[in-house]
Amino acid sequence: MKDYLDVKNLVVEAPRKEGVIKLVDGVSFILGKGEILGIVGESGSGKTITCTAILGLLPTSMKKSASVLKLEGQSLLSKTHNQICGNLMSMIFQDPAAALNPVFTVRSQINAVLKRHSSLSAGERRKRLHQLLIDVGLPDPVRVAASFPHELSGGMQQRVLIAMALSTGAKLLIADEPTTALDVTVQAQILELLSDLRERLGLSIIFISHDLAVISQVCDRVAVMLHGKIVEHGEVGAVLGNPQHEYTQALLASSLGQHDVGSTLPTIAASQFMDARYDK
Amino acid sequence: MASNLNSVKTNNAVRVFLSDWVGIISLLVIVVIFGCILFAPLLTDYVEQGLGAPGLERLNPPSQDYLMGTDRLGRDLWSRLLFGGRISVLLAVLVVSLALVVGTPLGIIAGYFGGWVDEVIMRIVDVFLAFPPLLLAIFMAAILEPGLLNMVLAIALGWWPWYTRIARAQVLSYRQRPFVEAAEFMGVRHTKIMFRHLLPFVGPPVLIQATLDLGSAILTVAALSFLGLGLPPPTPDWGQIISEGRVYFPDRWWYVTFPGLAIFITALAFNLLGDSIRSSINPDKEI
Amino acid sequence: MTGISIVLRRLGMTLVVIVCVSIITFMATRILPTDPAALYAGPRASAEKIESVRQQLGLDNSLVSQYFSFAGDALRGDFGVSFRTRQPISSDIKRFLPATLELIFAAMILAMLIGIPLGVVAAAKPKGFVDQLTRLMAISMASVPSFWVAMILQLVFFKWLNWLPLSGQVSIETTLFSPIVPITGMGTLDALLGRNWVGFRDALRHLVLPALTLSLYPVGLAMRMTRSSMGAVMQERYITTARAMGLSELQILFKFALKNALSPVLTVLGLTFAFSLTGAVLVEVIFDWPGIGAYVTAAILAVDFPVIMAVTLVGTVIYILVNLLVDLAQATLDPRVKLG
Repeated sequence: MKDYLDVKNLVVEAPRKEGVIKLVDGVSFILGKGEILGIVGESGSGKTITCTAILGLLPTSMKKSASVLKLEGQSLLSKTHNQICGNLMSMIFQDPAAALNPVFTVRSQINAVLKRHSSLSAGERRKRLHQLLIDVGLPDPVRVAASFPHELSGGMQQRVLIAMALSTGAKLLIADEPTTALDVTVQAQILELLSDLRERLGLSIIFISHDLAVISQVCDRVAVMLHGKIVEHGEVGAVLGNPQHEYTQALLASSLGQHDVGSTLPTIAASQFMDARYDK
Repeated sequence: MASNLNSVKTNNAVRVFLSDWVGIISLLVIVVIFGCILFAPLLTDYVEQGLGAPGLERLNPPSQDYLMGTDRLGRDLWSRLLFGGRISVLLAVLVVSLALVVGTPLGIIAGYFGGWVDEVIMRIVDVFLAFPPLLLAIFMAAILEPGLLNMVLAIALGWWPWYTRIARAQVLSYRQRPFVEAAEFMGVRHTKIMFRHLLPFVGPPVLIQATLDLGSAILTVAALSFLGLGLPPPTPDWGQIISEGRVYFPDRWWYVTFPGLAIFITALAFNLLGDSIRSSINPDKEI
Repeated sequence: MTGISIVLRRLGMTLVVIVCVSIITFMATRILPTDPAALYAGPRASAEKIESVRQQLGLDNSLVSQYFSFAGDALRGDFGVSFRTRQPISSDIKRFLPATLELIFAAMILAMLIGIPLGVVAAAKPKGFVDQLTRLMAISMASVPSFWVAMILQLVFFKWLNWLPLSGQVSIETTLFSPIVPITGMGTLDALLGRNWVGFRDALRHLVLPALTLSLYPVGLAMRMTRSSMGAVMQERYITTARAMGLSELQILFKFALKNALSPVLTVLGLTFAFSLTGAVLVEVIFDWPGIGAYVTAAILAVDFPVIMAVTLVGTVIYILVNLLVDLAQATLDPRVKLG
């Protein structure tokens, strides 16, 4: 089915002292099966909240609503986060060091997920764990499995997180800034890994980032978010090569690759794009 | 400049505090308790009995004449609680005041000067903190002769180090701030810096601790009195009354129950108040 | 610094502190207004008797040499003789300490069993009903005089309900008909070890009220510390990740969050032990529990200085060592902490 994940008019509201604010203001997009969709925007644009909302992991103070929120034709609006997370989709977060539990070994953390989402025996789980670690590019799975997160490098931690997400068996992965906390060489490896996993396992991926360069390397399509709205979307080549919206143009203009050393970088005053965000 | 920041913070804190009904109720209770204690002679017909004079009706249960019953010498229990409360509360206040007055300046000095001054003071703190608190109080009270000052001293000996630690921690975190460095640079005297500039920041956590400690102080004073380490008669406080009444328990239940309730309510009020104040100043931090 | 050298440095400091404590304890008893020799000799002793007692007790030597002989003896476990019982204090302590330890351990177990789960549940729904209730309960437990609660408990459970015994460690029947053979000195443990089921049941029944009274404050402490620690942990990224991977909330609460939250709870254990050391004094008096607390209380009433000093010293040293152990245990619980 082409429309694997269908989102129409997603709104997330949060209470503030000044009134109710719309953190996500009518976002609509479609993710195809086996596709990598990028969501790009600055901090505070609502990209993470959009995805947390889809998973059902919003804090209780926030309210979500949507006209359509479907995965493979099934509506997600009535499902609890327990039914969605790990079963239908999973999410890995920005800072891999913070996302792994510091007092448990890699083995016990991934094993818990395996136990929850499969009916394998203990021995089978052990084998699957090692296989997953190899799949994400960790050649010494036994040592990694026995390690605590702080004993691993950033890149390895991120791979472990990806392995954990894979172990759920869910075919939709949301990756929130998976490369931001890593240095450039490791970044490239992780991006390659994600592409690879998409090919081999048929994963569909939503890739959140603020970095256009990274988006352009790995995504098929991209949506640009600003102040809780999607201002432009389309094929990566089209959007980045021929941006229609002012904000996208400004984003492109301020990315480093375009400029000579010593010249002044253009800045974006995001406020110039702002309309009333607060509803009383 | 620093005082402006403080007054904004205080306003916020007061607002949060007033919205917490628990804190307000406990404050009211404390006011009532203090009122009862201050105006004790006005609140009872048996003033002399409250002060120790024996009465005729021994060990009577609570009745219309004797609100809370009478004790083994026929004295009205309610009166004894009123006058005994003066002692219990006074002792608690003295203990906390002494610990605060001794401990806080030491902490400020330690944090401000650093170096060997800090080392020496903190080692002394470590030694005193090494004693289990009540044990030290029992030990000192047992050694010294019974008396008001000795009792206060015995308890305060175990408590002053906490204030030193708190004060020192605060001073350390504000030590490097520009306004302190500026004052030093301009040649302001050390004592002035410590007690005019740094003290306002040391004050709040110390005062919160003091309020909480008042609750514990009431309990400790009562415990020492109960064990017989309190003041000599005929100036008994709540703990001592319980100790007297123990022999008659559980038949003459009022003898033990009412003083215990008095201790409980007073300590509870101080603890709740201190907890509310602490939550008002740190509204996000839950303890 | 390597791990070992940090431990050694800490041990060294602890030793220094212990020495200072012993000096203070010793000095305090020597600068008394009352004359220990006169006290020991008794109220009707003649001047010569007092003088000979003074020489016998070594009180005529210089303070410094007195201290060193005291310290030397103490290291060998000799604390002198009690004025009151006329027994060597060390054997008195050996007789009474296990009963107190039994109480303290029971209180600690109760505190963990009741306090930690309640704290976890309170943290699961911040500002919810359980949360507010535990906060109130914890403060109440910290505000109540233990000796008074003890008596109230006696009133309810003995006088009114007659479910539990009034006081003592074992009942007379047990002592007569199925006596517990002392091995460790702890009633319940010894009964278990000797397979004395009647005695065990009896000892346990006697243990309930005193342990409950002693555990009141620690339960409150455990509740609050678990709650606050869990509250912080539940905000962590790895908890959100666990949820995003579909793990059950129960498993997250009681396994993956709790282990991170336990470090401050260890502090609670240490604080509980510390509090119980002195709280036991009051509880033992009320329940006629034959422990160190009762022993030292009798000593206070009899102005038995050697006992008071010895118990203070021993109690403080135990307290210091327990705190040290807690710090060491903290380090092993969190693999990131390296005893700094």
